Amino acid sequence: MVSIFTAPLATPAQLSTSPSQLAGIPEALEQKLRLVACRLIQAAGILMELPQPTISTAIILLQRYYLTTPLTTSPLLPTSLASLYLSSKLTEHPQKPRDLINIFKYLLSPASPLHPPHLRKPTREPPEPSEEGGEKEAGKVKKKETNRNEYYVSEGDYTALRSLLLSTEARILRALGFNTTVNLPYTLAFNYLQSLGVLTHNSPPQPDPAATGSPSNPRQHQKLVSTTFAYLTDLLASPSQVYLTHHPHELAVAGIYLAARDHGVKLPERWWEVWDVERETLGFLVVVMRGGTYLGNSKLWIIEEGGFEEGIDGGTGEVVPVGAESVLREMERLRAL
Amino acid sequence: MSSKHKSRWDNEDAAEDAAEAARRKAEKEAKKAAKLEKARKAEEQAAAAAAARRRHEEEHHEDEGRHAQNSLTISDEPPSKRRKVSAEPDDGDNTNNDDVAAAKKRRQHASSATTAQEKDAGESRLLRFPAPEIKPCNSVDDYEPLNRIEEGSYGIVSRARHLASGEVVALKKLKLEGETDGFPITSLREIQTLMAARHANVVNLREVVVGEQLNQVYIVMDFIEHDLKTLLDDMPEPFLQSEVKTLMIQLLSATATMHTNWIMHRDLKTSNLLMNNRGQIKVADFGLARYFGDPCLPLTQLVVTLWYRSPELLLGAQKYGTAIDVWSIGCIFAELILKEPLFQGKSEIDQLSKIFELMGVPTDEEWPGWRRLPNSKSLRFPRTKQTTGHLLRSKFPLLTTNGVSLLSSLLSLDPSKRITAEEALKHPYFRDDPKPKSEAMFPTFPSKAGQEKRRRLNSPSAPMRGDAPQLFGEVGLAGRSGLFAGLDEEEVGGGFSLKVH
Repeated sequence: MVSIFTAPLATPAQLSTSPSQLAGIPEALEQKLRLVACRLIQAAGILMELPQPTISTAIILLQRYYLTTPLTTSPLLPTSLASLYLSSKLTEHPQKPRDLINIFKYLLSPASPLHPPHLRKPTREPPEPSEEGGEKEAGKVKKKETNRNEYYVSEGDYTALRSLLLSTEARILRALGFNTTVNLPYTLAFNYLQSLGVLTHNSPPQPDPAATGSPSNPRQHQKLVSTTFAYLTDLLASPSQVYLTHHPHELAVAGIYLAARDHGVKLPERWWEVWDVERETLGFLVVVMRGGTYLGNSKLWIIEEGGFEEGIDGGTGEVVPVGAESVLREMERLRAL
Repeated sequence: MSSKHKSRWDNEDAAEDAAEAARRKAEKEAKKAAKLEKARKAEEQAAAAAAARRRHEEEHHEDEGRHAQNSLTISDEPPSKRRKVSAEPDDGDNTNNDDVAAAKKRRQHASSATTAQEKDAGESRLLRFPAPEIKPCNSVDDYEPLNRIEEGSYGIVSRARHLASGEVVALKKLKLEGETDGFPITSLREIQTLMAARHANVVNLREVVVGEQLNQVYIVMDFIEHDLKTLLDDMPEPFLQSEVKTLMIQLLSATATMHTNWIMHRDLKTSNLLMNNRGQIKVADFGLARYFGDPCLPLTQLVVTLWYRSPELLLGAQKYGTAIDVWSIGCIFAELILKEPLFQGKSEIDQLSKIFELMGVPTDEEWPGWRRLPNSKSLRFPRTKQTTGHLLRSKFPLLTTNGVSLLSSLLSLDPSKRITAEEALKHPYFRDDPKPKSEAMFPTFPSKAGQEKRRRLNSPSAPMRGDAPQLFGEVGLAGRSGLFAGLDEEEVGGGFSLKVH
């Protein structure tokens, strides 16, 4: 029985021998590219109004796939496309390849909010990188000045990318042995929060929330849930790839731990053991979660082809091209160093 | 740590993992050997802590699966301070026991390395969940083809032998040639649901193997000798009541498990029930199965083979649930007794009229809101005292009262009043004499699929993708009254007569 608690996990051997690194991609570059893929998928999913579970599933499928296949064999763009295409089917929100390709091409175009502002034509005002990161901005439709030609997908490009998408989909399924079970921690986290009694709306408001430390109004409940979910979603793109090494209940507990601490909600002693999470596991996951902002990192810009430029614009971020050729060039450059 | 500790990653279900697990265990032991002496002290303290909180945990894990193996000796020491929660897990330790602190740091270090799972299951009584590995498909060349069993619109099923083990399996090749949108969502659902619906009475999915070409995908399942449809056709006498009960219990418990796991089969019928020579049936062909949600979303009405299709589907309900599977089970129950399908309609309208002939035209009290279903607006139903209420008693004169009661609850016209698979298992019918026959006592039958091609079945097949039919016309009830028989022929073309027993 496939239970909601288990998910296929990577073996230590798989994690220690990355096929991309065996193919000559340095670890730092691999992590950068994987992070960029996660951002692209997340941004595309938001633009397509896909539910977060569909997006999260796509990211996890992509990470599992790159455990088995090097980035050189399966370039980032078709793989990200295929992961989202596959997860949209698996989660019963099927999308057309055409729409996916249009959206991804838009996200890689100069019109995209993910595009580095200093590489844009000066006529356009650069978007302000906000705290929430590029994805939120991606939702806004650009102003009239946007040149549609910047993200026009020609019929030839479309056909080529579409057949690449479909063959990559088949390869992903084969590489995963058709085991596409992805159990996400969101529902578990919600259930756990409910069981912990911190979401009960019926309870009368506490006279002094600061004294008891428990949330006193629905808005705070809402915040607790959304902070937990935010931790869990951002964790998807962490370079530690904990979604490949930890079960969903462990991730859920870690998300709750941090969210409860952020909002000053007091939880019972050793509550995580109720859900079979060891203190050490929890500690490790908390360290990973506090390691940084990954998906919402506003200092990371994405282009299709070009050079890797670090510390551009007075340290406002780095530019990562996703095109296969740029990646090869960067590999050459790093090898020459 | 001694070697008898089971790795938490040990998957006891998968034999193929054994080699991998052994390798990992050896690796772990090598690492652990160096730390053994210091770790032992820490473990003793952890054991004490585990003992103290065991009672607390067990309240929460009554039905969550197997408990991790606990190989600890519980000491009577009080719980160690290390278990206090006042400090953050990551900012050092709050204990004055150096040994424990060191052990903890080591463990934390181990988990922050890429091999986070190199941990030890013996430490506490927390549940451990096995995880399948992420591994690519094997090649179809691992199997030697034997003979073809069946060919359908969904693909070809053949018998094959696994070269390494010599076991005979059923190999289903998916038809992917005409696909323009990548891997079809229906096949994805089939594989996903089959993987999730592990049950003694669901056919076992062994693996998915692939050929050289990207569109060569095969599902490998256990080979089962018979299908129930062919068996029923060939048996001189129908199943005994005791045998029917056993088969029904198996079918209902498999269906109940699927439904608990949010899976609808959507094509239950006797030809999709395989039967082995050990008295077990196995639900097969998940080609139309899918996950459902609560509340349900509009789904396609083009599901379930016509003869097993429920009235709400025939009337065009866009939202339906697990009750459609239960209706099919009702049809199968009747078929096991009659040795022939219960409602053999020639078209959707004919199917509806056959259903209403036996079960009666629903009244608004029996099935509130049925008149609002899309297709019932355009259909006219004769409604008199004569046409309402079911005639199951006269159709099944030899069935016990409880048997008729179960059948009528399975074939309840209103899906919301239809019994669930879970409830049906508790029906008094199964406690009546004759008691369900033990599986071991079942007769065996010569296999049709074993050597020769399985006979093409004289029954309609599952609906294909397309537009749902718009029904209109008059539903005649020939069996109830001769008055309507003619009308039915006019509208449908195919006349019929109902045998009233």
